[in-house]
Amino acid sequence: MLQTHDVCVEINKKKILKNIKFDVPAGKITALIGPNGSGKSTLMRAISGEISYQGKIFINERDINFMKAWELAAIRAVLPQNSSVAFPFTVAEVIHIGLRNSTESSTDHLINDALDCVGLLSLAKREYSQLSGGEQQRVQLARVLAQVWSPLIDGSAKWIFLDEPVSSLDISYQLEVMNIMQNYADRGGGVLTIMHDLNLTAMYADNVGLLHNGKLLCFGTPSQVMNDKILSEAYSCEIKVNKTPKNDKIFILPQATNT
Amino acid sequence: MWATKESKNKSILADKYRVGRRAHVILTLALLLVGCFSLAIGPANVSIWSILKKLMLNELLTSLEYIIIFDIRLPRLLLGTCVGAALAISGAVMQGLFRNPLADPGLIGISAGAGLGAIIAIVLGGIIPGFITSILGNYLVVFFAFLGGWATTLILYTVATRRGQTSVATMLLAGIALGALAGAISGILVYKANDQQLRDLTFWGLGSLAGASWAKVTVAGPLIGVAIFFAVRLGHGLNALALGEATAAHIGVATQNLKNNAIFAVAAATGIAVAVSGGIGFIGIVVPHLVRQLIGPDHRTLIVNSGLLGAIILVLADVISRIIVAPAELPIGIITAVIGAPVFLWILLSNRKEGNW
Repeated sequence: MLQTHDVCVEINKKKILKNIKFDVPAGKITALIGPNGSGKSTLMRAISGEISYQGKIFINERDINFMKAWELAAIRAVLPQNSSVAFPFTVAEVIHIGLRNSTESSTDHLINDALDCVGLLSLAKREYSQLSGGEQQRVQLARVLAQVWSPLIDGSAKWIFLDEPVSSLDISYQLEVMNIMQNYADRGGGVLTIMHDLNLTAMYADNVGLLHNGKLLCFGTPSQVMNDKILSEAYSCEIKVNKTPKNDKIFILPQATNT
Repeated sequence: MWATKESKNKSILADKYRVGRRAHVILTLALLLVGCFSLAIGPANVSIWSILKKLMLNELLTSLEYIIIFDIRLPRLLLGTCVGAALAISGAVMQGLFRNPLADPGLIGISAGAGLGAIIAIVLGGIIPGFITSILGNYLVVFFAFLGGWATTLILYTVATRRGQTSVATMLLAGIALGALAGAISGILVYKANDQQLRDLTFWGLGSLAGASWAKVTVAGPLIGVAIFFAVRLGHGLNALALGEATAAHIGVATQNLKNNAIFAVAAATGIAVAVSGGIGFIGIVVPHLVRQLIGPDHRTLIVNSGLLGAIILVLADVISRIIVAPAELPIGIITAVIGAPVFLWILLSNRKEGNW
């Protein structure tokens, strides 16, 4: 379980996050949505232990403020929004660097498995900087997966935090990445991801948290959170939420302002 | 999708690391060879072979032979090895810390600070209290240079650190400003200097190992040794830092400790290197580049290999500086710049061809 208790973040005397409180269960995909500037990335950075905050954040009932960097690294991995690699490291080396905290005696099989999982095994020896943006994003996902490969540790869940994991990917890879996350959650791991694509969110998320102006407007299942009124208010535009006739899945249609 | 496949990448990771480790051995042997060469070569006509023969046969050396080999060339060789290794390792660590292949200790003003300290000692030596000059004796310039380098580092660290977190970007910008300020003050002092002081300043500014002595070796050697010991332990952390500071923290690196250790190892190594040998350029920036091109960017092997190659290049440059205009000596900074600048340009051009930059 990942829990936030009245988390507030203030940057340059401006309140970015105000009393965020929610419980994220392991074994499910939880998506954070909201318009630009709503505080999603700041919340993710607080939960990742990157920035200081007021309130409490617990991962598996341990206060992250009292955990060392290596202890956190053993139970959660973070995919940032943008990643650049200085110096000409190969794809395999980038993943290997991410495993520095691993307790595995040999990390080679993890590198292979993680790259195979994101479909980039053939690029293992290529220089990271020579890959396309989408390929780089998938390598970073492989690095994150390798870091917390087994979704459980002593019966407790490991966690993957993702900040817009599909932003540079075409639609087939978007689905592939979300399927990988689904698989991880199905095996008991926790997944918390920031999403901009509301349709993918509706399709894959088990829980959705909607942020607006630094506050958590609502938290629940997609059908509880994603309705016309709430989304239209939060995003300040007209949004229609419909259901597919076949399997009753939610899909979202933004309405053009001139219609 | 999740099934384990037979490792194909095992070889690439293991091999590259093994190449780096093997390079330690090759470069160590090369350094020994270059060291013998450095002992054998010089303006004085002393045959190293005849000395070796005498030593093996337990015969006494002439006083001239003893002085040239043991009091002049050997301390010079050891000091050159220490200074070359210190500058190259400092460059490798700075490039890793700033995630920038163009970084070196000169970039954040440590060298300029050390230079200012030396210039203060040379030009204003007369107004320094007598008890200080009597305690420091011939090491007044060395001490002030070391002090200047450290003072710069402490100012930089204080300016760039807020709430226990050091901003590398702020450090870089503050370093440029402090370097410029140190340069301006140095310029004023140079303007005030007399002819003799100007000659001293010019020679010091271009770098030289001519003042090498056992006393300098015993002061600089252990200090540089300790700094190098800490620097080579930063390899894992600097690799992680290449993925970004936030990512390094996410994968378990205590990034603030890493930055502290890197900054103070570099300050100690560079401060003392500049203090005992003056301003020797290009070693810190070119050597890590060369090593990266040859064995890859893995800091676990890059730092040690840079140290070894830096020592080799500086000892060779010192040999050239001693013989090229013998019996006079050319400042070693001229040799490193003449060799380093074209090599650096070649690296830049080859990287452009490969589309890296």
